[in-house]
Amino acid sequence: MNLSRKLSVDDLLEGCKRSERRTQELLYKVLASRMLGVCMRYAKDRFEAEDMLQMGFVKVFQKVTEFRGEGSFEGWIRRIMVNTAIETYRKNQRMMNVVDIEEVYDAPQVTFDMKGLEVRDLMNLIHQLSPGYKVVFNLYAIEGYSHKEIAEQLGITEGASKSQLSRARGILKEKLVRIERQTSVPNSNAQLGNDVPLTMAAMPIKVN
Amino acid sequence: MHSVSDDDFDQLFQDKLYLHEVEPTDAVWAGIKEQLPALRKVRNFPILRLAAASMAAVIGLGIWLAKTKEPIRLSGNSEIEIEQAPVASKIAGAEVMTIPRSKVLSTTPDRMMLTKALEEQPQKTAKLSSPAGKVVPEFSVDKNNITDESKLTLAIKDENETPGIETVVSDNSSHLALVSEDDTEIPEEFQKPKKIRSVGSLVNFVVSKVDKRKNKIIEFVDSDEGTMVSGVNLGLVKFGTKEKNSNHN
Repeated sequence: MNLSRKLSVDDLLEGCKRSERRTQELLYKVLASRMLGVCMRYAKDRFEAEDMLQMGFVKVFQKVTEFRGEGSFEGWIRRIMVNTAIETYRKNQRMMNVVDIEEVYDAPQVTFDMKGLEVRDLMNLIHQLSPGYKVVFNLYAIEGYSHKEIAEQLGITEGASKSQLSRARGILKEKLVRIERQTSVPNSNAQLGNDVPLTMAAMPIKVN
Repeated sequence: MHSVSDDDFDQLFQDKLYLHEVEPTDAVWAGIKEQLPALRKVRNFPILRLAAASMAAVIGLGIWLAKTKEPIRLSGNSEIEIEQAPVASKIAGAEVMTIPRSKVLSTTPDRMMLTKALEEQPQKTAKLSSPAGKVVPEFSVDKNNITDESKLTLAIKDENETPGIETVVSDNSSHLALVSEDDTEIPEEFQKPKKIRSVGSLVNFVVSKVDKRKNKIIEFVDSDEGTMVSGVNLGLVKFGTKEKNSNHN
């Protein structure tokens, strides 16, 4: 499926460069759901994610003639979506939660049964992070950016990027521990926080 | 259950979320379509294409003007041949000579100077006469000065100029033929330079150094009413050139 998608996306490139409306629509239909998945990880809700998606595709059609073929066309579009998400984050978040490197949270060593985690559960966990932690964790852990690239994109230092990533990991692991505690005590769902999805409550988690 | 490192923890999220897809609503594409016509308008105003076309037009005009630049060509024979009739062979020193046309002296002061020189050395001057008793200009060749072709001087006298200088009249058939065309102009470089008396003549001087065409890009004439534009030659657009030429002739 990935191969067929890649070929079709690359085949649509020339038509998009000629601003053919039909080709633009085809490209949107092929990639919209995947790109909305990217935007959803950065946005605070679905509406903001769809706004990002719309702005991102407009940029794609505006700048498609600048695409030089370095890397895949889909990868180029994905970077535009991420950059659009970063712009939105920087507009919304003038005051970021910057944590000094000395304050890096030392997360406890935990073990999880990772097979039980679902996509929806992970998305819920990420959305519980503050915007600063969320964008750094997304860029580093999922998009594969380096701390230097993150620092340039967000206008922060590399140390701040590292500290926010560490803090984000710690928060996520802490929430998973809470889920484990919940699952270890039967019929105690009522004591859990409202932000813990039910599907995660059933996961077996062991804390060292 | 197993221990989770940071890298494994990140990998878990990447594996699950990197290719995560969410179906958007139809409103998203509708919003994109609304903004696309604005993009098309921008594309319909090709500033870069206009700039490129303007540059091409300027360069093309420059090339065209360079091609239409008229080279300076001398018409007629490039050399003046002085022939001597059989009778003229009796005249001492008379012989057929080939003189570059550019060496012909045409201005009166030069003639005066040469005539004076001839009077001082009469024995070295060849006097030629025309047939049928016609009065013809006297051609005097100073052979002392003929060390090479470039030093050859030729004096031309006629009856209307330089009074006091003898005009030879004869009824024999000897003659001296000066092979040339009357309407041939002497190149500008050999004409006596004009004096710069006004701004117009100054402009003419500067333009003549830059524009070597017969019809200059702009030319002024000095008249009683002042300096006036006598001709403009912009390549495609020319005016006043005929009048200017007639004035020159």
